[in-house]
Order: sequence, then structure tokens, then C-alpha cells
Amino acid sequence: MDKKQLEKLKDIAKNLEVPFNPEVLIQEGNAIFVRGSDIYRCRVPSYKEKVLAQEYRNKKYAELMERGEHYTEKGLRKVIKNRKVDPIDIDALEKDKEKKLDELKDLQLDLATQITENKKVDELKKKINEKYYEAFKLVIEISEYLSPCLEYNVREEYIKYLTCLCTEIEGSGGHWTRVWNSLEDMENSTGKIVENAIKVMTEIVYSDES
Amino acid sequence: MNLEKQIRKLARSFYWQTLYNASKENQGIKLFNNESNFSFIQIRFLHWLKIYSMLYEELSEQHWENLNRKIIEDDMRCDAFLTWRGKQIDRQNFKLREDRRKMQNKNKSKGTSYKIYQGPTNKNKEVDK
Repeated sequence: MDKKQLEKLKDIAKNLEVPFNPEVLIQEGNAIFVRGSDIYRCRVPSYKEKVLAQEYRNKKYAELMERGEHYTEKGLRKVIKNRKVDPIDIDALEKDKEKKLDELKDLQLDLATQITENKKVDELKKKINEKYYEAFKLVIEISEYLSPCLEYNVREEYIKYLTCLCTEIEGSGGHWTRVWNSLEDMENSTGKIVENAIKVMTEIVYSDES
Repeated sequence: MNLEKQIRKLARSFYWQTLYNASKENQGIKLFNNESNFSFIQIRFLHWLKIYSMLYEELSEQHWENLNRKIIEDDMRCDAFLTWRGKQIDRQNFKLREDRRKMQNKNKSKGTSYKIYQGPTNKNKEVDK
């Protein structure tokens, strides 16, 4: 991988970082972030809110299936693999990614046996970094190809719904109120708050259930 | 610094390690302000608290030749060590199972077996009468 590509991937990774104080996030559970002179927080959703978000997600899934405008992930993989112009085998890309991760593990085993700081340690760290970014590049590529699929869209809707329910702004007297009363309000909102809030909520709730 | 790096730095800090170890002995010491409904970040933080607590303990016991404080504090070297440590433990467990299996086979070939008691026989019942 050349230096320019590596720098570009590092920029992508940096954009995925979330803008808030982690110690507050850890102790409170809620994520507080500042935009201008306003203080916002993304609250950890309650069980009831997660259930509502799951119901919304299931409803969206059924709607999108009925409309037939989106491929499922399985279908999209086949379409991309069999297209006449520039076919891509996503399964092969995933195998390649796993291979890179295995190579990364071998480098790690080598690094683990180095006890003192020496030139070999620096070389191995550099190789591990490069291998990590090679695997990361494949993850981004696969994610870009599959992002139009039904499952990805529905997952985004789940996060968006929770973001709408659980993003609050601090008012006078330390009282917190919801920023958006509805999804429509959120979608029509301008500025970087929506983007930041969605990023934060993804960190708070990301798990197998989303 | 990305979130994972920040979480790890906090998890291995003297303040959080002390709090974690104290909370294990004294249930009155809470790590978080919320007592339920933990966020994914809190779960990850707990995971790293536990990992670093284990590493510092193994360091003080000099359990591994290739573990030192610098390695624990360097995320990349720490990850490398954890991968290597996992493999070592798998090997040890495999060897233990193999040794146990060999022992069992050895006992079988010597004819060491135990008769299972099946209760009183009819002969015994007649005698009892």
C-alpha cells in the first residue's frame, strides 16, 4: 500500500471517531457533546425505547420488502458478482480480509516474543499497522458495495429512530429536553448535530441486536 | 486519539484499576452512575478493566517472561501479547486433556474397573427370610 493510500485510510478512520469526552461517557452512560454554546447528550435508550425502535425497524423492513426497491444482502452479493460490467466477488473480498487478519495475527505472535525495545519491534509494528489498514480498506470496500442492501438500510433506520428519541439538549436549570419531536424534524434539521448524534448513538447501542 | 484507545488508557490507569479492584471487594463502591442499562461503551470499558487487572496481576507474579509494563502500556504490543497468551493457554489446555486421556487409557489397559452395585440379589433375599 502506498503512503497516499495509507493517509487516506487514516483520514477515514479519523472521521469515524466520535467527538466527546470518554470519561463522562463511561461514568454517565450518556454521551455529552458540545456544539457552539449548546450542550447536547445522547442518552442510553431504555428497554422500552429499544423495543419501539425494533418495532419501527421491523415495520420498515416489511415496507421495503413490499416495495421491492432494495435487494437483500444475499441478493445484492449475487447481482454484484454476476454483473456484466466490472463484476465483484464480495465473498472473495471477505476471504481476503480474513487472510489479512490471519497474517496480522502471525505478525502479532512474532512481536509478542520480542522482549526488549529494538529495531525489530519498530519494523514489526510498522508491518502490523500496514496489515491492519489493508484489512480496514477491505472492510470499507465491502461496506460500500453492500450499503444499498435492505439489511443495512434497516439497521440505519434503527439507529436513526433511537437517535431521535434519545438526543437531548440542556436547557436552563440543567433540565434536558428532546432535540427533535419526530423523525421528520430530525431529517429536516440542518447542521452537523444529526450526523454527530447518529455517530454517538452507534457507539452507545452497537451490538448484535441492531 | 480514537475512542478505543482512550477507553484502554483509562482502563489501565492507576485510578480506575484501584477503583475496579476495590469494587470487587466492596460492593458499595460503584464504577458507574447508572446501576443498570449499561451502554456498549461501558461494557467495553469493563472488559478492558478486567483484562488490564489480569495483566498487572500476572506481571506482579512474573508469570510470563515476555510481559512487562511497557508492553501493557503499548496497545499494539499488548494486543500482540494477548494473542500469543491465548495460544499458550490453548496449548496448555490441550496438553492437559491429552495427559488426562493417556492416564485414562493406561488405567483401562491395566484392567482397573469398578463393579456397579445393582442392589440385593434374589439369593440374598432368601437368606434374609
